[in-house]
Amino acid sequence: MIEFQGLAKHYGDFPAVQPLTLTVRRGEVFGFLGPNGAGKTTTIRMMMGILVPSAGRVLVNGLDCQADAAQVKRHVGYLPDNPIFYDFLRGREILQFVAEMHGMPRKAAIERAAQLLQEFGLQDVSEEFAVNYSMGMKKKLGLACALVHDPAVLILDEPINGLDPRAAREVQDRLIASAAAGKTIFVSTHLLDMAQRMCNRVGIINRGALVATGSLEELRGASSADSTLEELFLKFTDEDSLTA
Amino acid sequence: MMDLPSAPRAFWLLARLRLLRLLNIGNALRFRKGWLGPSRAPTRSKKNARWLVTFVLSAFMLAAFLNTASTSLLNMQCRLPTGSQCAAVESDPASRVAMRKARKELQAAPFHPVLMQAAVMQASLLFGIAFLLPLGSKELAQPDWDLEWLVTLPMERRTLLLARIAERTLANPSGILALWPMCMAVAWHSGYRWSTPLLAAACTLPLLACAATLRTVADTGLRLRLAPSQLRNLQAIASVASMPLMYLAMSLAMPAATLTLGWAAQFPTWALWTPPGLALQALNARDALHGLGYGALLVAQTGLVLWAGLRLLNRLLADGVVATGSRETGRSSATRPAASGWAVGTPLQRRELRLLSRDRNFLVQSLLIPLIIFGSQLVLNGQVKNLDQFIADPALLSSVAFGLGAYVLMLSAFQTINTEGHALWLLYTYPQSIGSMLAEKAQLWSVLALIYPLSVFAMGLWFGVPADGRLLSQLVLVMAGIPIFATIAVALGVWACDPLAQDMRARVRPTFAYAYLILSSLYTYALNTHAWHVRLAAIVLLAALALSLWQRARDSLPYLLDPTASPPPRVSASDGIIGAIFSFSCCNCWSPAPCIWPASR
Repeated sequence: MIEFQGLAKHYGDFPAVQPLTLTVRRGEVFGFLGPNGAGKTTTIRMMMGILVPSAGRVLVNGLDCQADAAQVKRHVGYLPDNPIFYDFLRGREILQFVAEMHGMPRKAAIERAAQLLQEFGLQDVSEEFAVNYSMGMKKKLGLACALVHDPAVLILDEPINGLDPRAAREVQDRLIASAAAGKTIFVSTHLLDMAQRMCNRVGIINRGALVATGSLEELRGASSADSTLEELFLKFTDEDSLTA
Repeated sequence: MMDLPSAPRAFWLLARLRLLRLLNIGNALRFRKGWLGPSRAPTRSKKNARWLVTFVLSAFMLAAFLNTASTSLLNMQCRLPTGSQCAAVESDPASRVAMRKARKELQAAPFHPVLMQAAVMQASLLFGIAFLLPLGSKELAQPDWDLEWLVTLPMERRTLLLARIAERTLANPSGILALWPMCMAVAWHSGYRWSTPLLAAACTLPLLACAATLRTVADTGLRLRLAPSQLRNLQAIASVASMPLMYLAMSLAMPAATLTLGWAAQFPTWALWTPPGLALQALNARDALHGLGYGALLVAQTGLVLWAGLRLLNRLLADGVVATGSRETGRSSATRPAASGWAVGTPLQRRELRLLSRDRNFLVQSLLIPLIIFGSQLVLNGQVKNLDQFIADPALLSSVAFGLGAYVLMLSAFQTINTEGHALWLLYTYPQSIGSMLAEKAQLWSVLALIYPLSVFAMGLWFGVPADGRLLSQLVLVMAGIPIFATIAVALGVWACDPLAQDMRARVRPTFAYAYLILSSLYTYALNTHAWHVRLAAIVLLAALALSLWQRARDSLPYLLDPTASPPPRVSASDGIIGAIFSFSCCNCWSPAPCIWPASR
């Protein structure tokens, strides 16, 4: 479903993402873990065509995210780490606009927007300008925008970062429901309890390089059988062991 | 527990923070968009000559303002009842001989009272610009207010407010450009030479401090009293109000501006004792005693304004720095059912129209300011004396019509990427190419811009311009030019815009706006020439350029949000067409004799 083929990004001499080769299967919830500045957001932005890879490519449903960018967007819903919306537009209007941009007829877009606003508990603030929403509301609206065209693939960058526990739980439940409905979810996070709760498999990226990938059991491997994901994460991203 | 910093140290820390910010903005201009620090230094710069362009443009603007201020004084000396002999030596008061005579008269004696009144009017107008232009900046309407953060710092509010005023005094480029050249011109014509810049700066500084105090009082008070939507309206009004002031001040340099020269001669004498009047009197005083006296009065008045401003600010902030919730209350969904019936255009075009109807600043900047600028230039500068000129010359009518449309496009279609702001990422999530979305926007702005030339032609017909074949051909040319220039504007706007720039001032590169204006002037030339083959050549060349620029801009779109990557360099059709246009321009516009096409005017 999602196939990374030697995807890399350099900022001058600085390797933001080192050649990344990875496959995320259909219907899988894949957690992309890593410390701050590891290259998670850069990878996701390359998947969305926001950044141009220095090398390699990434395919979604067999379509190249750079060469077939417009076609890829039909299958993909995207939530950035800090969703910024148009000034002077209400939440309802933004959602309706995004639905229409995905080709929905106007009437259907209005109904779909109303439905999602209801589902995300945003109906009370739907007539407020979205730029004034709290971070939690913006994330929910962003997720609603990502889901508005019912995509097969969700690409989410830190979806619950900055949310209060209740909002975080609501978003996670929503994502679990989406996964149960057969969507492929590629989610970047550094919140390990979320990854442990949601993901079938995880990849750990550190300093731009993928250092481990697999299910929790596979990652435990040589470590003790009862290692938590946090312990594994610390092990794989330990600077001393990496430089040794 | 650590001791809190003393007031002077706190003042210095705040001022240093502001200066550091300015320096960072300068660095962002100097290096490149997305400069990521030493660890992520890109190998290749996207805009390595930008600092040079900024420096050259600043120097050019300073020289232009200085020249305007100096010419204004000489013009007023000649044209107002100052007892000048310059009209006697030459029938044309704008001639070099008359100007030389006026210059000698100004240096020989203190300014005539009428000239001083007129100069004070000009200085007062420029002071208004120094106050209104920064007030009309986006800062006023931004939901985030830095004062909310600054008041959490452990220092006295008085120190904080003083530091804010000091920072706004020094970091007011429009105010400096307006007032410093005026003071320099007065000092120079009062006989000062190498000390002119320093003396002028000494008199400009108190004026800038007064403007900064007024601005701080105004925006603090307004933020606490007005709702966000009202603030946006006010910002739009402030940005519009500064325009006529600017043109009024500039028109005093035009010999034909009889209207404003008349107002200047009758400017009230009490204005001589306001800060702008005192600054000019201090510079024009012919002995040190008087000069220092006026200077001391200016400093005292500035101190008074500061004291009163601080008192008022303390009172305004007595109940805190947040008076209203930052969130704007909207109407409930129950009271506003979403309309699902008839709709105009594509979803993107409908969104653009909706933003235009709500964002007063966007509306004013895009659709109203071109009218104000054009109207001011035509009327205040005395370029168009009466409507008979339009009736007699359809070429002038069509030049005005096209110029207005082209100007609207520069402030709208040229900004298509810029107006997306930080929400540009959303365009990358839709299943359409960004090029097709920009094409939709170009279509919309073409239609809106066409309203202006059509209105000008309609007015021309109303006032009696003969509806003959020549007028029709001019109309067709103008109508054809608008979509061509909408395409050029959107394409150049793609390169001109830096969506990664954090500072609004750094988001649009002026170089491309100048390129657009040069191309517009070439089309205006084609409208004015009678040789049909020259017209045809200009249209074909510019249409071809529009298409090739569009192609190149489309190639750049995937790299728009990438801080380092650029499309691979290659020679394209646009390079050849630019060469052809340059050759065409040399031959027909600037060459004394046409070399390829026999241009006739």
